Amino acid sequence: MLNKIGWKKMAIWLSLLVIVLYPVFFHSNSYIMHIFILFFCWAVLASSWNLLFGYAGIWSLAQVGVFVIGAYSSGMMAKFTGISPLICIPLAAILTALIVTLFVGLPSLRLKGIYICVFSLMFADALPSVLTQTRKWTGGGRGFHDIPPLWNNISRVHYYYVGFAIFLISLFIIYKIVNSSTGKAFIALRDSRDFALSLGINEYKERLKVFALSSFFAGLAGAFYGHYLGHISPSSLGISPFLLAIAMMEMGGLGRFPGAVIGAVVLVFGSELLRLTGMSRLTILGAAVVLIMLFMPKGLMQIVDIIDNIKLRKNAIIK
Amino acid sequence: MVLKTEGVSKYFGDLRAVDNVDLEIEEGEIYGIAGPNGAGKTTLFDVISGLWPPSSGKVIFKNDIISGLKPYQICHKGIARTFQISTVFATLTVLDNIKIGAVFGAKTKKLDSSHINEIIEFLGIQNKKDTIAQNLELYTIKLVMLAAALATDCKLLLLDEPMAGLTIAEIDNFLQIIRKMNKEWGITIVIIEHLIDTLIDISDRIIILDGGKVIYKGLPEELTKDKKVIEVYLGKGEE
Repeated sequence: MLNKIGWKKMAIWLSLLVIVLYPVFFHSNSYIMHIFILFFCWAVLASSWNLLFGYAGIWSLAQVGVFVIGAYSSGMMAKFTGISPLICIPLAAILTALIVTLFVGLPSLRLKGIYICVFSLMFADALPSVLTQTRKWTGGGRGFHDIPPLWNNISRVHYYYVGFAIFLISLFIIYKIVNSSTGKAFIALRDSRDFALSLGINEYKERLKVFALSSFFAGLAGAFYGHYLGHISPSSLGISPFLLAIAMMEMGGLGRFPGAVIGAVVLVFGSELLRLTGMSRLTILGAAVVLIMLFMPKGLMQIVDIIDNIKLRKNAIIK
Repeated sequence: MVLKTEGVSKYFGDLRAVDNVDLEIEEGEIYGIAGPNGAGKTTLFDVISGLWPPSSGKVIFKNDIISGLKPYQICHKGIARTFQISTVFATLTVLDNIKIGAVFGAKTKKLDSSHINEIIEFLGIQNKKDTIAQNLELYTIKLVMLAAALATDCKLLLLDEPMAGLTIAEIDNFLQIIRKMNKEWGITIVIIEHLIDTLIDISDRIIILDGGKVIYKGLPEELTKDKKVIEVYLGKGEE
């Protein structure tokens, strides 16, 4: 029975069940729910980055910046126009995709590899200055406050389920993308560009597509994040969220689904658990990242491969 | 005439990699290209397939000027190629490799799985279909590269040293495949090859390039008697 369904599907359905039922049984504990909501945002951010960085092999480092653009655009839209945040969030995601495709995707069509790192990092690094220059509207260095909540008198359980919905929909679409011919084209261009071109793949089109898709999901997660916390500031563009997101993506497994989600589970929940250890939290977390990179260079998804291999061998012996 | 180049040149700075090359390739023939290392053979393929636009000159495919078009547009016109350094999409399965050619190579973007199956059976790689390409050995990698190119439904196929590194038995198989593609599927073939006997054996016509220039153009039988070819490429041998 267990073999028929497959242990991977079992694990996924079981985790989803836990997430769905958690607030039903522990609705008094809003702190853990808060961690879950942050996890939803981080997981979508890291997965969207993985689409661009891992699958398409475009080494853009601006993804946290994209997330923040999503948060600012939805927050400002909702606060200044009074439109319901539920409409602002998808609109902001589309706007983010447009901005990023135009300002990062288009210029980087002419760049390769490490030059895209430099260029996209410059873009992300310019964002705090842009925010300071536009402090009249964005609040500058002190941040943008009083972002309207999704609806009045919203409770944390509601945020939890909306966040979960965004997480589910985003991950489902990303899964569909990486298994579609578009996703295969991203991988083909990464694996062997010249061969991909000679087989009729339109490089510019596919690269713009991957920029648009990945920034849409990062913007979506960012927009939700902004409404949830009620404020967003340039400190989100600092080095630690950046490193955290990149560590999630790398630890989970580059170019693997759902690698980035597993990375997010480990880093978000691991870092919360490690609060119990006090001062040594970051040391332990850093050591864990280093160890995983050393012994599992392909990330935690390697564990899945190992289990698969063992099963294959067992089946072969039985036969 | 299916492919014609008129005074095609490609310069990299001062280096004339391809220098004023005129070719006329007839429909249905096997056209051989040889020459010493660095003669510009691969660069000529890169120019025809659009990876490098020519510095001057024109490439004409079935009465359309294709020089200056993007590689994907040239592929959609019906020109496919393979590479000297065996490249496949290492992390995709064999079937997905071939599907890339079928989905993106044809203008219609409709997946014709019977065509794919036909190619897979023709090349005899049925039992490798679900293998990840990076786990394949050299000969199968070359077949997969060929299969993906064929899946684009090409009329003209450029083969860049397809037999380098193969064993004698594998070369024999590969030659049979080339002849079959040519005779049964009606694909015009341009082939770069260093094994000169093999090339003479398979080609209808041959050109020899040296320093980017054409130094011999004609029938394979007369190639070994041509003085210039002997001097720059074949060598005099021991008398």
